[in-house]
Amino acid sequence: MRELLTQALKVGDQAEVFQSRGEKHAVVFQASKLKEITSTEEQSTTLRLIQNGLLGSASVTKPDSHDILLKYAANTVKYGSPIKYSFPPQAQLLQPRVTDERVRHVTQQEMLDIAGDLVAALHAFDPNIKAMAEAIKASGYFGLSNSNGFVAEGEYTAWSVVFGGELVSERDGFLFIYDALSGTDFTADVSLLKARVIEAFRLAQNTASIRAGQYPVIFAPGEVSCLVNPLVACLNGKAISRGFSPFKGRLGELAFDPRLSIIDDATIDGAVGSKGFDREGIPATKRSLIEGGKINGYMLDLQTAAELNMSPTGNGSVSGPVQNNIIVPGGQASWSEMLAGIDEGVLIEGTMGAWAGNPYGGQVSGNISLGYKIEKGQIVGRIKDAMFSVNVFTDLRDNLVALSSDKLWRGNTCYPYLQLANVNISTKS
Amino acid sequence: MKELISRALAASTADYCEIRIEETHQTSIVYRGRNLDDLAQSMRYGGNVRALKDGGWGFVSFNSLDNLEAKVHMACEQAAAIGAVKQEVSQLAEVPVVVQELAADVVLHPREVSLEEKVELFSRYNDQILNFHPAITSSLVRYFDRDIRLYFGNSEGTYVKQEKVDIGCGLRAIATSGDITVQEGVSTGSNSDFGCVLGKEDELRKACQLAVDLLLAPTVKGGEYTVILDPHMAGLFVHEAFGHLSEADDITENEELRNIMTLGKRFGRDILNIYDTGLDHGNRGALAYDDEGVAAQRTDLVKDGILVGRLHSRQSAAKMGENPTGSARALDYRYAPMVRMRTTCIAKGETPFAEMLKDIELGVYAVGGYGGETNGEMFTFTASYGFMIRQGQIAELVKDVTLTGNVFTTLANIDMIGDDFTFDNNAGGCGKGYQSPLPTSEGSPHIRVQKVVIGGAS
Repeated sequence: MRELLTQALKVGDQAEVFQSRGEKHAVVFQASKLKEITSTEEQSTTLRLIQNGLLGSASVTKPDSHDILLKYAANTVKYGSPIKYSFPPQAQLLQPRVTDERVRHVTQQEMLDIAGDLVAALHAFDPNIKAMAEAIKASGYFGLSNSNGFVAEGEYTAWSVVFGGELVSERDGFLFIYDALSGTDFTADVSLLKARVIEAFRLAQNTASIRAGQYPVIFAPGEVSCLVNPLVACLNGKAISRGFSPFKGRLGELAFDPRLSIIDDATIDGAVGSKGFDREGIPATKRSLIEGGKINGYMLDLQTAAELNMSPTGNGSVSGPVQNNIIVPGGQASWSEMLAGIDEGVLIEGTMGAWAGNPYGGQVSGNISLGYKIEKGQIVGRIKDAMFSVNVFTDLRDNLVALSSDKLWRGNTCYPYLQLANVNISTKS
Repeated sequence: MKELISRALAASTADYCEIRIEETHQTSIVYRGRNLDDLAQSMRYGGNVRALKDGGWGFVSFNSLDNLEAKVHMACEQAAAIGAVKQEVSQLAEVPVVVQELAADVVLHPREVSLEEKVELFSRYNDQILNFHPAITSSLVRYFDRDIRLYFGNSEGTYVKQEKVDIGCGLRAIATSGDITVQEGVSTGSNSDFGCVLGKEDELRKACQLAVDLLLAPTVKGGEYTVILDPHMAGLFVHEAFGHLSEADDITENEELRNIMTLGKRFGRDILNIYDTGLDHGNRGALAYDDEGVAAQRTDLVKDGILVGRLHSRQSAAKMGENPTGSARALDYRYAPMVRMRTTCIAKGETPFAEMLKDIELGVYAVGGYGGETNGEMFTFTASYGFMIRQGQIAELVKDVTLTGNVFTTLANIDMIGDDFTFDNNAGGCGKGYQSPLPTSEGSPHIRVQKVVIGGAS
């Protein structure tokens, strides 16, 4: 990296080099059968140059291609993005634990056994379900260095198991249920994942009908992302500084129910989004984005921080601010208490197309691909052909009923069950 | 490269082995608001080996071509490990052995246009958006071009070198008023002509005006409507709702799905004709050979309302006793090919637009497409905007138009197909598995569908 920086400084006033290399191994079962084993090796080098207040960027995946990297960086810096910052100097860095040696040592046979056991369990529950399971392990190295003195490097491991199945019949249609566990640490205990998927198939065996109207709706942790993602998009420094976001200029404003908070936390050991420093060399920390319903902070990289005259927040990436780990703290009620309190409503466990709208408008509509009718505190059956529609700006302000104390990690998010009142459900009339 | 691939393939111990090597040079430009947000050039370089033994696949991808034979060994060992469990006969449909080198068939190659000219062009579009109206508070202008060299060889003797181009741009105006933010824009692309991004000023002006108008437009009222889909929305529908179902890799392993997708079954009225093609050069989804070295073709999927075909890889074709269609595609060297669409179309019909409108008392005209998703049976997609249809007339503008429904019912409920036809080559792409966005295109006339559920305010 040092040699590349030296060469780069012949073309630019400041330079930054990011290098990564990693490998990933996966075993894949599909349609209840072992399908493939895959191995991926990947490396890349990215060079960013600043010259005369302009930023250029280049990257290559071919080993020993510094000449192309320098040529592309020199091309782009001539016409590049006007910037108002310098690459940062060395800083004191926290280093959350994001490696687990056990991941590197998991054997192919262990991965086959873990995934194969899940497939066998679902097959035993219902042989008509076409089960799928993947066990994936990854590990790698990354290093960042700039011409202003920042030098840091790190390693990571990742372990994930994806499990689910498809049940297709001419009479009852298509049912797809998938779930996953993921983190930086190895675990062979996939019993909760197994139980969740089988329970979901069990609950979906009965069907229930629902009329169009407004209902109390519980969003399961995996689907709370439909509601949180637009808020996170609006809290992104780019959306703020470039005028996309309706949250611009509203720091400190009570915009949501006081029970709603959103935290971005890069310091959690074992979480896939944790890191000591972001992609630009800024220490990554724990920050409150929405606290007690108030808009409390934005996610900023070097450029958006400079544009907004604020400090970068450790959310930098090669393409703007990104989240680290997004956490929505839970409430007092357990999930089962939440369910018991609903006389007639809907539990949403899966949605389709809810991401497709305009996140800055707050309107979220999607098909309920896996949802259950609740009657008198009990799940009575799966609903189909229904769609939900909420406005996250107004519904999370006026219609938040409860957040559960139970929470679930999915990738780099951790959410509770979330109940809203008066959610529009559209159905075939 | 041919010699390198051929030598490495000689080390294969599998029933079948292939090597694919890719070198892609990409330029990308992004404006957000007043700022040039990103200007980058990159080279993606790498390859993979895929091996099939006794019905099991091994797959290894890498960036360095050093010691390619060792990578062939590794893929073969992986395949053998699975094959030992499966103990199936490796099945691949027979295809002609091809040895061919294809130069990019281009009108104006993006590498013939300087980076300075590209930056100036998109800077002008960005200024046009931002200067259009005070309500337009921001913009999102994205451009990319890819100059691709693909080398493919397999253990049967096929060797194909392809030079390809992929170009796309999206020009989006963002208008804000209080809590309300809306977006509207122009998106285009091509596999052969930088000219596709030129001369977009008039379209962009209309899109900017729409963004301003949408600020005041009400959210559509949720319910069941007769809906007319414009060609872009209909293209999105045929891709999401039917195209994915036609991808035979899912059908092969699932008997129930096979029953549902039995050839000869009626899927729509006689007016409905659907096809997927790799041949319409110029579209982002067009290709000469797929990523198994199989020549692309036009594949009829629905003819006169009857299911007549599906999209195949060599393996799915062999397993179902049908012909491969040149539909095995991979996002890049990091992935194995799977069955994917190319340019998916509803064929032109005979009904004029005015005829579609005239007997609709209350309906929705859904225009443009943000995106969509399907799980096979159900679909959801969101239009850029819509108009209410009242007493046979286009009425007020509405926003947040999200459609959902059952694929089979909705196909059966298409009761009119327009006498127009438009290709959609937006700068997005298709997602399947972990591979997204793959360049695909769609084409369609206006279509009318009865009884579509639209989510929205009550």
